[in-house]
Amino acid sequence: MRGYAARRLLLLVPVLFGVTLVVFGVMSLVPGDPALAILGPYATPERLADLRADLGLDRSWPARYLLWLGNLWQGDLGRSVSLEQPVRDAVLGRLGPTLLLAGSALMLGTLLGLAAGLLAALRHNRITDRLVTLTVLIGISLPSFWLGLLLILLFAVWLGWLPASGMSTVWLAGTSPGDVLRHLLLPTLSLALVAAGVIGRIARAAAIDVLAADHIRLCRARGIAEPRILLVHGLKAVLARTMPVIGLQAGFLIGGAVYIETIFQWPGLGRMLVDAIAARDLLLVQGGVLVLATAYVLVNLAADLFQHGLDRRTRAA
Amino acid sequence: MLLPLLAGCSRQLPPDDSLVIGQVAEARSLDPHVATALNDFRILINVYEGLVRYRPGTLEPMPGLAESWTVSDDGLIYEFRLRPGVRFHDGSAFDAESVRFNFQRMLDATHPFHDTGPFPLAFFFEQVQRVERVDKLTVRFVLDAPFAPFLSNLAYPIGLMVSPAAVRRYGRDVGRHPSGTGPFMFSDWQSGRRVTLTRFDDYHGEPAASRRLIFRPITDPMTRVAELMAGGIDLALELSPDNVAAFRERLGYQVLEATGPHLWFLILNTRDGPLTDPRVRRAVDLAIDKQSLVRDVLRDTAEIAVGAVPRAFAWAVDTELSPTAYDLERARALLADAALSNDPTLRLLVPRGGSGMLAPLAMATAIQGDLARAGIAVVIESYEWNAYLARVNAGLDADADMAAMAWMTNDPDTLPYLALRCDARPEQGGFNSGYYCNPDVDALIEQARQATDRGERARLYRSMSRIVQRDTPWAVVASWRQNLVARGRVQGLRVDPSFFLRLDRAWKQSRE
Repeated sequence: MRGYAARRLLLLVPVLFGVTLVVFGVMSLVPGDPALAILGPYATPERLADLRADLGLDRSWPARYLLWLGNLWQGDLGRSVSLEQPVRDAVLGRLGPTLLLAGSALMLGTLLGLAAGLLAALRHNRITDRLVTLTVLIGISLPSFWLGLLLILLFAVWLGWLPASGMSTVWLAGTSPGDVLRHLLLPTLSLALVAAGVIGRIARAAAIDVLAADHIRLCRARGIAEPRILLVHGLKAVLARTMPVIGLQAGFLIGGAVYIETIFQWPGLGRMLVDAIAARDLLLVQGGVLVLATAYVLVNLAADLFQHGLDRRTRAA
Repeated sequence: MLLPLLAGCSRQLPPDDSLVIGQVAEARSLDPHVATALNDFRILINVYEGLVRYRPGTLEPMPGLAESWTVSDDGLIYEFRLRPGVRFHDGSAFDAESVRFNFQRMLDATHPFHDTGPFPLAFFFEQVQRVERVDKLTVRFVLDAPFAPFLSNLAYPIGLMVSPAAVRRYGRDVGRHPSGTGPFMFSDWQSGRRVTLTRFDDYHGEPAASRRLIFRPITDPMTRVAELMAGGIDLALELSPDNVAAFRERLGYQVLEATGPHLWFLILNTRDGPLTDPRVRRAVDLAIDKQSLVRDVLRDTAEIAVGAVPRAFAWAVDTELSPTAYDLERARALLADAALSNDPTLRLLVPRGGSGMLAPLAMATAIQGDLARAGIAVVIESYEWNAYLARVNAGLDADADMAAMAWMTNDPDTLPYLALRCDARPEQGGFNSGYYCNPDVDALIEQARQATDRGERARLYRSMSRIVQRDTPWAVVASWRQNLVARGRVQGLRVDPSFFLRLDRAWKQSRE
């Protein structure tokens, strides 16, 4: 088990190497560059050349990639041209909000998804199952950004119960947990409903299988009530089967919350990356992708390890 | 389950002494010599001041940190008398030495703080040969050549004065620790969330009316609308034309507008293809229904433009020159006259968005329809903004007949000088991507640039504009009207043609 984890962690190195190389190469091949983005319509060839030299863009991209790798070794991610600050500060400053949003959406999504899946499995082929399945299908099909806009309209504009966007109330000096929670609610809900849909479908299928297993039949023969059977004797097996999907959802939420971050003006990494790509801010994109890719790999590893653990205990039981 | 809990929450609104502004993007730098975006300028203009500034409501320079100035007869020497007793927010004094420091930092590669750049717009002062301190409150600029736009350039954010003490202290990070002489001083910047400015109590002029300004970056225009309606912000910039139209009708909101020194036009390829024939260019100009573009597509967030000088430069504009009126018959006649061998298909390049480009795709589609009615087929090719600049700034090749472009300038000289002269072709480092060339136009631009008398300059620009309208190197369509939508109780707001947003007189009435 420990050996497995170590192997997977070691694998992180070539994965990150590959990801950053591809990002660097692609970003360098896309037309336009940061100097052009900064100068805009004033970008004469001469001024472009000057600014490119100032920004270190006049070297070939493989040379710049090697330089970047060398600096990375010393913990230096370079300086962002579109934010005029060190990439490390920019990325670390945005990582917290992204993890907070993704984490809370994953938790809520998993709870809702498991609840829906188990409920549907218990009422397999009955009206409740059909209703839950339909709701889950709607959850998966709804674009989260559209859902987000509807939530803003209802809770912020019409009812005025919650703030429309941002992560904290800008006119307050500090940030209190309660204030952040109020800002967190709507974006979390927009993301969680979609995640719940995906998780719910898998959980339902898993629970139906589990309910047909031999040891469950034995429980049933002993006269234990169906919900109790599922929750006490079947939940671990259902979780084990659902865990890889939860892991994938976690990765998706960390990297894919771009629309939601934009609509809710959440100061996270996804939104920063989109802006960085538009500004051709190569080093910022690199830094952001590096952190996101690491988080993605780690989260999936954690999910796998968790599943391993569950499987063993299930087998032992 | 959470709903009953939420019902206890009431709508939270910003306090009366603070104005919350919904900006379009995160600021890049609050160092005026490093910043290039309007989004940053709107913050900077409240923190810093320059030697001169634009007279409210116009683009004409008036005294700022300089009380008065003289210009030598040959237009080479400008001497400024500085306002006494002015202090930067960090407490240091503003004097002739501070002015010298600011310009040397930008222009002199050997200056110890030149490496705190890059300063992308330093070329605004490329004619400045040296800056001299005459005495504590007098500073002298010596130019290489007469350069009439010098004063307007000083009024641009690139001419704002930064505290030398702050540059020495923070170096390259001074853009995150700004210190100027303006009515508001910087207090904090939380990335992606807010930039807060507070009233500077030792301001040398009338103190600001509000205690605090909070700039929030809200990139999504729908979210800016939602925040304005939810009360989370007091004013929002650059809403979409449809939203502005909706707010005009809505009670409790005010829409403020000012037409900027901006031109949206199609560059026509005068070197290759059917548009080399001036009759065909003229036909294109006549066949575009600008009235409908401005009214129906842009919902009055722009006005019809004419010539090469935007109307915002009131003093230089030819009021007798009227925009090309929509005339399908004449367009068809000109096309028949040109007797093109086969029905032309023109290729129109447009960006999908971009600084000052308004609604490029919707406008291009409308233009495509207009030209089809005149018998000209148009194929639209769209690009992402950055890739677009790379393509169009390199010059229109045989595969491109027209390209949409927009410019916002601070002097009538800038655009024609950079984009219409024979010597401004892309190969020569200019922006004349359509390869228009008329020596008469060149001569007029050059003379206007050297004239020290403004009446004379105005006369030259008027003559130039007439020739340009006749030759039609561009199909000039519209000038952007900046819009600002604010809640009704915000008072003392003003939008200027510069599109900057000085908020020292703005305040909020208390809620009853």
